[in-house]
Amino acid sequence: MRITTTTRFTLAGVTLTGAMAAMAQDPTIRVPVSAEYEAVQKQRSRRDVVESETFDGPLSSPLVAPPVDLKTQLVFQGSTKDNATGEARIAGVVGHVWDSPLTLDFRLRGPLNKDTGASELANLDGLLNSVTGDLGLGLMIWNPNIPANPTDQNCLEFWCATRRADMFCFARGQKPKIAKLMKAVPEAQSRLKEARRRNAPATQIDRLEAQVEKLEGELETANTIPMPKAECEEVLRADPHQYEAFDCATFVRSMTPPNTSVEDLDFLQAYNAQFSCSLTAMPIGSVWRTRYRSLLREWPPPILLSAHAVVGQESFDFVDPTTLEQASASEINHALVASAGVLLEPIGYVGVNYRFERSHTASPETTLCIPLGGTGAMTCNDVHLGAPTETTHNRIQFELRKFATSWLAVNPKFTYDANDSVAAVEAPIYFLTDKDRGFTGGVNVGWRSDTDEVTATLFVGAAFTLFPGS
Amino acid sequence: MAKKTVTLETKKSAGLILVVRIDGTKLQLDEDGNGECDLTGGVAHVLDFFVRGQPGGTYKVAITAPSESRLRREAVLDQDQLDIGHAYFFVKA
Repeated sequence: MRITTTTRFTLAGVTLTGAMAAMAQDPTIRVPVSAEYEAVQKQRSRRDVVESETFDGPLSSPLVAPPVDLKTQLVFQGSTKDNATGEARIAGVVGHVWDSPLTLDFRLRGPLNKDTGASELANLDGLLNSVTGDLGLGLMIWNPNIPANPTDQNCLEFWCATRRADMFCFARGQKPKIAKLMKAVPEAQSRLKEARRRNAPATQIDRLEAQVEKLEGELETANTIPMPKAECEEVLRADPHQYEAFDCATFVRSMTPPNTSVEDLDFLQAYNAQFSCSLTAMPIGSVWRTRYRSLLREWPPPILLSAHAVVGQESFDFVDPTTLEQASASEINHALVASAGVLLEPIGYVGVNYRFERSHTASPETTLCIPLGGTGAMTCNDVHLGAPTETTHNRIQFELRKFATSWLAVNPKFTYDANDSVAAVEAPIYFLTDKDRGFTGGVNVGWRSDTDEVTATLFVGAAFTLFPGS
Repeated sequence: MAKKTVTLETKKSAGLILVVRIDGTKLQLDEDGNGECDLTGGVAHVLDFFVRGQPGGTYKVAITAPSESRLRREAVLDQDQLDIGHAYFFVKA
């Protein structure tokens, strides 16, 4: 097989050198894209209604959906003074399970010292006060595959129907016929030459001559394709005198020059095979796109799994209610979070998140007044009266993420806290769009079972994605 | 037949998932979206890529080496929230 870029194609004597060179430099079919890939927007998960009301202490991370954008990183960062937290994080792909990337994410998060702006997260004894350690594993399983033949066929039909790869289509479609004719023509010519050499009867020579003429005609016909009108008109404009008598409706392009070999046909295939095809390059609603989309039904859907273990230590200062003495306690809080999600056609992304949490809550603050010596005066302080109480939460959340139309996306969530028997429904409806980032805002309608309140708020925030973001 | 290392780069916007196959075998991409594999020279190979995500999400798939195999495909996902791509490339012997 030869791969060259010599001027092997002619158009009624006009070489196509320029066109070939341009195609060789840029053989890829392009579709409109945004000017630049923007830096990935950092997304912060929004806390749902139940969590903000029923969870406290350092275990304040929300239900975590599986991330799909985790990158290897070692990060030490402090946030703004407003929420005053520092974080150390290490994350990355640690292996592959079921041919899919397994990610690990470990982070320490703790409060910043308001004076120094520093955050000390751990020492040799372990985590420091109010610091949370979070170890997570994530797995994204998606193994789509296309059977080669239907794809080739679909692409071929698309290329040929849209005139994106004439030579490819020609070479592929005509190669067997041309190869057969290329063999038959010299054989017939040879038979004619031999008949003439041995002075065969005139009738036999006439028959052989007719046979040669017929085969040569067939080869010539097989060797051309209708020329795209725009290309034809361009050629006519370039040299109107030479092609005065030509009509673009009947203009043909010779695909192979004289003496083309079968290897040249292979070259045609090889050269044009550099064209690519994809679903988004095909018109919406077209038969080729529909055919591609139908392949979705043959694939297992994308599945996202993740598990997190969160542990944190928190110190409490309180007053013993029996002795009224100052006391302190250090408690360990922990949580386990498991998430799973699947993209179902045509429903959308369906996720379930579960969180078990055991945490400690400071007793309510109260004003304690005690006599000041024998003066009859009192001294009062706001204190936590009594040791912190342990609370347990089992919370499950169901989530749907769906781009319903080109102007509407929804992300309804149902959350239930089994320990407090509190249910909450939240239904962000996205209809506000940012030119580059997609859906970024809308209305959030919510309801809680404990207060029986329905709320509706306008919001603008991070771009909504089909899969839970990073 | 001698093999050559083919290098591939991908980029995608947040929230998209992307899978690449070369000659039917899933290519393990690193966290930056890069991957490579050794392919037989002198023949054509097939690149398939699959992208799912929100409309407006962008992605890029490019073969960056060897030079004769270079190709690049980039697109914006539309209402189908999906792209499937198929391309041939050649590796010289």
